[in-house]
Amino acid sequence: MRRAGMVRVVWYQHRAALLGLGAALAGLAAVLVAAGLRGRAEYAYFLRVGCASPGDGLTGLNHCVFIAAGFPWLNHYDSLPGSGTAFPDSVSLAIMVLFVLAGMFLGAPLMSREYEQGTFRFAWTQGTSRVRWCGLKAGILGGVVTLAGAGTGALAAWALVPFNELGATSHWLRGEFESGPATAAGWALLTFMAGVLAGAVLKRVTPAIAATGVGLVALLGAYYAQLYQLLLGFRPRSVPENAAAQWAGPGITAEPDRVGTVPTFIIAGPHQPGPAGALQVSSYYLGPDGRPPAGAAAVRLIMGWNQAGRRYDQVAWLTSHHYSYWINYQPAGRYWWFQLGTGAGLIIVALLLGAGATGLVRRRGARIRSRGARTRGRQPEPV
Amino acid sequence: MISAAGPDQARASRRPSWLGRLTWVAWRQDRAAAIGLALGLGALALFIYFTALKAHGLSARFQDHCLLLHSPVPVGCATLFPPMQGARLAPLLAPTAIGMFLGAPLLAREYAAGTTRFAWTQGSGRTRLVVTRLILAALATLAAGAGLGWVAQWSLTPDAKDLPLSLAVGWQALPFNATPLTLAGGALLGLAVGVLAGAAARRVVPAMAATAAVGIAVFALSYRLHDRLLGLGARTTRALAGVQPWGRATPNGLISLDRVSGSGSSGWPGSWLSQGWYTGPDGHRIIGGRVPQLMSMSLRQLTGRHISFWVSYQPARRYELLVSVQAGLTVLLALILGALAVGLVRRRNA
Repeated sequence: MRRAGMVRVVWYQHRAALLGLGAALAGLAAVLVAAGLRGRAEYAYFLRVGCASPGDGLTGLNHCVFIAAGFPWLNHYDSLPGSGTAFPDSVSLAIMVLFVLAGMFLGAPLMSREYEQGTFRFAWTQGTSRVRWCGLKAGILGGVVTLAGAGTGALAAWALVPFNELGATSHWLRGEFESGPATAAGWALLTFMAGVLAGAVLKRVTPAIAATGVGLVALLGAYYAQLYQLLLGFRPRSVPENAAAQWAGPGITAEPDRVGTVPTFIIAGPHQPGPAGALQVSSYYLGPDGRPPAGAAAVRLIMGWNQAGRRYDQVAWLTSHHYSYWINYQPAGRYWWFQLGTGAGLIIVALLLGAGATGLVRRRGARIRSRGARTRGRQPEPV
Repeated sequence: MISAAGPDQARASRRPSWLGRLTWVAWRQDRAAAIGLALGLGALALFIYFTALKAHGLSARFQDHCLLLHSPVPVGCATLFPPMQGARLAPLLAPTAIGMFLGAPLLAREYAAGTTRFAWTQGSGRTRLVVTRLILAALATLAAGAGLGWVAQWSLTPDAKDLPLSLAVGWQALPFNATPLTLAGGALLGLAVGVLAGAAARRVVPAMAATAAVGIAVFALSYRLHDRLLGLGARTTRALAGVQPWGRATPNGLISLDRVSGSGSSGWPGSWLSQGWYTGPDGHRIIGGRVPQLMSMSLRQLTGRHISFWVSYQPARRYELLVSVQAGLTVLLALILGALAVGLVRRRNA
């Protein structure tokens, strides 16, 4: 079958899911465009009245605080009233939900519906071989999903620029990092291929959809809980930054006799000392001997810090007693390396899942052929 | 003398009632979905439990610091104390999953497989069969939702003794939707949406997709309407001290406070502060560009100019009442959707 014909077959078979998902994607894109335009207009106003400066976010001028209060949507995490959820978080959540739905309703039925309805007996005995048939279908739809993911990610990144400029959030942080163009493309393909594999294994639509949903939610949960920190904690740089200690007292480790490394994952910026645009991964204290304080040294640090009183006095106490506060960080210039690396890693895993699904189809096809040879002349057995 | 009908009567008396028989049929038909869902929701409950375990082990002072967002906020709170993680998942996942995997196939599979022709022409009428299945599924759903809500609520109520922390975080939309009552109501609504979608679409996958779309839309809508619910019958009082007037100021002079009155506020600890506004010496609300200027003034300066700051709030003790109102409304909506689904089944057969 010619490639154009194959595209038409894929369209006929999956047009309902494609149209549904396309409508949801178009709705999300419209929201993102509107948000991006509105955010840019509000940010331009902040710049014009001198209440924000590029790279430094909102200035601390008194009247600016009240001007900013009039722009809660951009500045005050108010997209879901009363929930404390920011608009950038909602965007990231919506994108991930859309990808999971694509895996469930586009990926999972791809093979399982053929098996369940028995149409594979017809479809896989045509001029196009079963491996080519499945590979082309998964390839065409996977390509569409990847492109849609990359486009959505690029649009989200564009729409969230004003939020990042104001220092309310950052493209490094959990949620927004996954909805960057490269990672979004990777996640889109991965969720789709996970659905395809589940369908090829289970051969029934509803269980495949359920397995895809459960598997993807578990994967995303694990990613947000642990994998994100492992990924972005890869070989960070270290720098002493006593001024940043005012935001993180040593008692934060909640261990009375040890002051260890604390994961932070915050952005260095206008309100947080550290290298500009960097992701602060973790922080730790070093004692006068150049080692992490433990035992009596840790108790002395915690007690001295608590008794020093105000924030700036605490930092002064730290310096005068030869303690130092270090931060581990990823420099701003590494962002795209992490984006591309994560996206490439996700795409490789997705391709492996797709290859696994095609391999299953191929193996089953061989089994059907051999069974057919054994039962030639008799009624074929149901598979 | 033993009559010929004797053994038959004895056998008939030993036979289970129609309800028992229909329960058995319902179990046989839906056991895979029920067991799968129970396992999935159990895993979600375990996830919530384990994410909250660490927070419960921390000291009350530490929890107070992290939960009430005292200034300065400790940097490690987000990573060391993730009480909201599990509870964030529950309200979205549980009702939608129940609707998709239990509700949607309940009738759609019968239609799609053509088994309605057999099942609905037996001795017990189609309405009775459908209603029995719906009631059994609803009871299981209510139990599952309440159980999951209980775990989610436990994850949000740490062991602090000095402040009503559970209320402090409980008023926000996410934990408010994760109480046993609201989550049970939400789960029932998810089931009803799925059943109605199945009855309308009569095909499993489209019904599941429609349920997912509607479930997500209802989830988003409930968060949009959350502040409306918290504004129901709100009390109004003049703020004497302790309420900082920061928030969104609208052109009509209303300031959205949207936060809990903490221990530093005079009056109502644990209450939900909804809106604030200024009134001038004549008692009328001040509107327009003067409001941001007034927001930067201290209470003493305001008093000197005969200006008052008023707030509307929900007292802490109304929390349970509002939870019950939301749960009641969702259950009512679920019953209406369920009745519509039964009506569809009856009409089609007629």
